[in-house]
Amino acid sequence: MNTRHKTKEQIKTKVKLEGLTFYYGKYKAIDNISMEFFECKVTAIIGPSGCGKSTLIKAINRISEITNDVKVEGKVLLDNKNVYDRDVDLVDLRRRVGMVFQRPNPFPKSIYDNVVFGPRLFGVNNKKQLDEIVEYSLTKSALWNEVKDRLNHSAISLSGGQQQRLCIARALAVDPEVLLMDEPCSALDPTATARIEELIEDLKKYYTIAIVTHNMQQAARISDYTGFLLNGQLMEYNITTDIFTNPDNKVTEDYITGRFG
Amino acid sequence: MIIKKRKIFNAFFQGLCFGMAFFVISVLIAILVRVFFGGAGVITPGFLLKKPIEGMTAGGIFPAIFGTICITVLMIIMAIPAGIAAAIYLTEYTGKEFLGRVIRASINNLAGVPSIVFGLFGVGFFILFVGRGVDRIMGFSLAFGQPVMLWAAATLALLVLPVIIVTTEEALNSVPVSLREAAFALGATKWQVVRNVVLPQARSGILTGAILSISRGAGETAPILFTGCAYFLPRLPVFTIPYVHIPVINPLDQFMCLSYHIFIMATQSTNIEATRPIQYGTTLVLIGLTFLLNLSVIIFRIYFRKRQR
Ligand SMILES: Nc1ncnc2c1ncn2[C@@H]1O[C@H](COP(=O)(O)OP(=O)(O)OP(=O)(O)O)[C@@H](O)[C@H]1O
Ligand SMILES: [Mg+2]
Repeated sequence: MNTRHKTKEQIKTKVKLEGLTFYYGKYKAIDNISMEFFECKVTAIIGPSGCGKSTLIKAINRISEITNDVKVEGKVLLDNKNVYDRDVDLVDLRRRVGMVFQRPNPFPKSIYDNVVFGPRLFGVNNKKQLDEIVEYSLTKSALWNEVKDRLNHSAISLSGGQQQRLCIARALAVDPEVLLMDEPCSALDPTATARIEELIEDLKKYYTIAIVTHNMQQAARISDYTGFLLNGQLMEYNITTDIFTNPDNKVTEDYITGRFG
Repeated sequence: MIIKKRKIFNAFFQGLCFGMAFFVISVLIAILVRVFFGGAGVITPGFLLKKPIEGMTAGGIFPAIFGTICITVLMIIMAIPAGIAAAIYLTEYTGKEFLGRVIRASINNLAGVPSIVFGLFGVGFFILFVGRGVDRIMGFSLAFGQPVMLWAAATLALLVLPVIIVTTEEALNSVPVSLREAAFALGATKWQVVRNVVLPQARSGILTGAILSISRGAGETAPILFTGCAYFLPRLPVFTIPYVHIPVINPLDQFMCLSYHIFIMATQSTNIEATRPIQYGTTLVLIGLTFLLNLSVIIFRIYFRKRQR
């Protein structure tokens, strides 16, 4: 994992959107967005409800197309390779781009089986290795101490916030390169939120992180870059401190100061 | 005024629905009561465990019970995998495009085909085409190309296939999208998603399909009439493996069956008076047996639900 560690100076583009336009059927949810996500940086996506934040990050791992009739124009480059090219292996793509969904969606299996779901798919069956993955991932997602004595219990019996942390652990267990997080803290109390924020701080040493959040303070605290979305369009995208102290755009300022949305 | 009208209307429809429900239930109860009082008297251990004697006017119905169990189990073994595979194909691999629509329409039509047509199809396809074909290729004089339990079960399996496919499809579709998404997002292939997430979730729904098809298949007469059911068979369809002397069910033998037994006694007997109690008894046993087979699947389903927690 440390091989991917980059020092702070080299800023490398990991994911690049070029003129991305995204339709659900005929409905245009994302309109011509171009932006970059950098390696070892946290990029926050903010914007009012329904503006297309989830759609935007789901376009990166191509997960919407499983259940929806979608149409995509433009490019999503992962390490300079368009993930919408015909020859892209979706299994490989999703392994490299992990995701934590807006609503916790643990499998109705045990806590343990949830975490090892991904590794098992790739043929890791060694009990000792799986045990290590479970402890590592659950510790990272700040859940280990709460569940270490009941790993065989059903994940459904966990509280909503615990389920969300389990889903984070599950995503970490496959060791992705990019981590997409769709409001990972919306169901969490302040303590758990703080721990997830610490986790993100820690993870960004290795991963490229995109996080959707409704919480302005959170975006300001944890992200390096922030994009503000409105009605499917990227209104502003910049270094977080600039966005929050000196936004170019009047609407951005109104939104982050809470005057609308 | 208007409110009063609505209330009367409401009461009227409530009454109508209740009346209809009551009617259906009373018909069911009437049948069960009649069968029970007509047949309970003849049900003795001997009736359940002996074979018919004296032109079926006396003795028991064991061969028919045995045959019914064999054929129902064999039917389920054949129909469940085929039905599940078809349902998986329909839900996971075809969408609403032309091919999927054609297949779905065919299945719905298949469900509406009269059972006697299945029986005739079984003779034409399984016995004469497949069976005779196998005999010819393998050089048997006559093994597969005749009415036997295997083909009767296969015909029944075809009959219940639409039931299984439709219920399984429903079960698969009711698995939450969010779980599929979660699995795909972890890099699962389509098959891994089906295998590890969708099927375990759909298991109890699939077993419901099995229950429905047992109820449908166990009591059928027409499909097995020409495909392997025997009027009277002095022996059980059992084959003893040489040397080790282990008896196994022989699917290449004919068999007796409860539903057909009832039909025979009701229509072909020369002594209706003597067979009437036996008819009731046999009917009662058939109803009870179907119930028991269902119960075993229900227990299975409860076990799976428990394990899912
Ligand atoms: N599966 C879908 N089919 C059709 N339209 C959809 C679908 N999912 C989202 N949309 C529409 O696309 C737009 C963007 O939705 P999206 O879920 O990306 O919003 P969001 O910014 O994540 O909102 P929230 O903050 O409430 O989660 C909305 O107008 C929504 O109605
Ligand atoms: Mg969203």
